[in-house]
Formats: sequence, C-alpha cells, structure tokens
Amino acid sequence: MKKRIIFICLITITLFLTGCSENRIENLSENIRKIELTGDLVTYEAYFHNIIEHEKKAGSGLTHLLEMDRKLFAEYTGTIKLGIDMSEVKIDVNGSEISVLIPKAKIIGEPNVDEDDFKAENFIESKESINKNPITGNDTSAAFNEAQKNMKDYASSDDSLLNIAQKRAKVLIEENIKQFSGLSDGKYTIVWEYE
Amino acid sequence: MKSKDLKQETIEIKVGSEKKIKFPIVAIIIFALIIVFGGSILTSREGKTKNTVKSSLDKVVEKSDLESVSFTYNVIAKKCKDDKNCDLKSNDIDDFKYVVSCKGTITAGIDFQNVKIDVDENKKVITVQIPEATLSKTPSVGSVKFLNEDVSADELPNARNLCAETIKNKSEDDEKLLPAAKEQARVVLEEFYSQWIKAYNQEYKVEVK
Repeated sequence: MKKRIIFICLITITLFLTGCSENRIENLSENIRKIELTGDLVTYEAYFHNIIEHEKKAGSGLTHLLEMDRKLFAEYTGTIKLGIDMSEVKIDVNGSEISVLIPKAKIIGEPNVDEDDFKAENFIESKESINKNPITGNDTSAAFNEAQKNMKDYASSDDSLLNIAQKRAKVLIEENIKQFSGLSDGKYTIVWEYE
Repeated sequence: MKSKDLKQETIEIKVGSEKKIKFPIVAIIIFALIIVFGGSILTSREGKTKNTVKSSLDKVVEKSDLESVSFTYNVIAKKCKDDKNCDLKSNDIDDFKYVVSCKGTITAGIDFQNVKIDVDENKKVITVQIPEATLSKTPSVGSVKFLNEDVSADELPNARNLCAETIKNKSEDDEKLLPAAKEQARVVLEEFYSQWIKAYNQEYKVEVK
C-alpha cells in the first residue's frame, strides 16, 4: 500500500513537472514578443583620423585673373556611430527554436566631425600663382561638409566595421532573448541569420 | 496551602527576574551577531554580485571583441629639405622636400583583467569601471601618396618610413583617440547591462564608466 502511494505521488509529480515545462515552452513565443523591437541600437562608435583633400577652383572675372586651381589638405578627426535598426530584426519562435534575423549594420545619426580641425591655418596648400587664390571661410566650410560626407561614405562601405557592429548587435539581442525567454540556457536554441 | 502559594510566588519572582536579566543579554548577543554576521552577509552578497557581474562581463567582452579596436588613422607627413632648419608647422607645401598623405591603421586595446567592479548594496548601484585604453600594436601603413608634384618614385620607401613614424607620433599625442577607444566599449557594455540587470535584480542600477 505504502509503495503504491509513493508510486502514485512520483507519477503525479512527474506529470506536473512535465506539464510545467511544456507550459513554459508555450509561453516562450509570448515572452519573446515582449522584446522591444523599435529604435536604433548603437553597437560601435568608430573614431577616424583622416585627411581631406579639397579642390579650390580658380575664380572667374577680372579680379581672379591668373589665379590657379589649388588643392588644400587638412587632417581632421571625428566619430561615427554604427548599429542596427531594431525594427528590422525578425524573431520567430517555433517550439523551443528561436529564429533571429539580424539586419545589416548601418550608420546611425550624423558623423561628429571636429570643426576646429577646419581652421584656415590648418590647411596645407599647394602652389599658388601670382594672383593668390586664398582660402576663405567658404572653402573651410565646404571642406568640412566634404569631410562629413567622406566619413559617412567610408564607414558605410567598410565591411569590417559593419560586421563588428552587426556581431555586437547579435550579442545584445541574445542577452535580450535570455532575459525575456523565461527559460534557462539549453532549454531553447537560437538560429541566427544575417542580412 | 499558604506555604505552597509562597513557593509559587518565589518561583515566579525568580523567573521574572531571570527574564529581566536575560533580555539585555539576548539583545546584546543578537546585536553582536548582527554586527559580526550582518556585515559578512552583506560582504558576501557584494562578493556574489561582483562575481556574477564579472562572469557576465568576461562573456560579453569575448563575444563582442571589446578588448581591441582598430581605427583608421590617416595622416599628412612632411619631409624637411634641411632637417636642421625646418619648420614642421609651415603649411606651404613648397617648404618641404615632399609632403605625403599616409593611410594607416592603429590598434588600441583595453585590458579587461583590470576592470573594477564596485557594488553598493545600500544604494543598489553596481559600477563597472573600464580601464583606460592603450595603444597596443605598431601602426600599420597602407598606401602613401605624394601631395606635391615631381617627386621621384625612389623616395617611396623613405616616405613609407616617414609615414610609420608620423602615424606613431601623432597617435601617441592624440588626446581624443584613447577616450574614443574606451567609449566604443562603454556603449556596448551599457546596453548589455541594461538588459542583464532585468534578470539579475531589477532593484539594481548598473553604471558603466
């Protein structure tokens, strides 16, 4: 009689625990849906020390007679943020398997170029003619704009930078899943896909 | 009958007086225990929190490659016509034998073995102090381009050496570089711990500095 009672108890406990586990897996999809998939996730802030090569065209008209096209060179520094758009992350749950698609990393916001690097005295100038074609405020601001654009182009075409940013996004999303799943590691698997 | 009552009274008095005596003793003992063990419980809780933060940090550092970072470091290098009489601050290209545009890469590293984790159990604040970044490798030089015309191609090896030297010197003097190297790690860790803390204990706040 005693053995029977113990046996029944064991069966009941086993069924209860199995039921709980199934219930948790069922909740997985619901829990994962709670992950906020909005906004930008910054995962890398790149620093650039770069060179701007700006061409200053000779002016037209009598006062610009004998002027030459000149090249201006300057070093500048700046930072640029990279990361992913969270709204493009796709998460699907099938049983205990979670499929995650991480979008390609991109530039987030505008580059932060140091304007102080664009003072006229920081420019190295190529040869000048008899009629000097001097650096003006317009030239320095044009060079600044060009530098910002260059930095953006450079960062958005640098695959190694973009890959690091994407890889870091994966680590952070993995942590998100871990926190929201309600399950311990090993109770679910994540299948990663990269855009 | 009377003597029995008297006996009982005596016993009650005794018990009462023992209680009176025991109460402060018990209080002192409890107080002492709180001082001795309470502190150690708090310390051990701090230690446990520190260890948990450290182990999660080790994982995220490894997975995210936070220990080293490469930056584009392009510079302009100037070769003097006369080393004894040369103003490197001059911006006239003709003052130099040649001026060269150098493409380079530098690597900065953060030694996460020296990370400092502080736990304030009263304020429920965990502080992760990232060590300062350092330049970790010799800069690498990519392509070089002469900015002035009519420079002999024979100068190219010398120009490359000049580039390597200039990148090294400028990066060592660059006050914005190492803080930027630290910042790129801080951005990731801050985001990581904002999620991590939700599972660990939402009462805590994590500050990454």
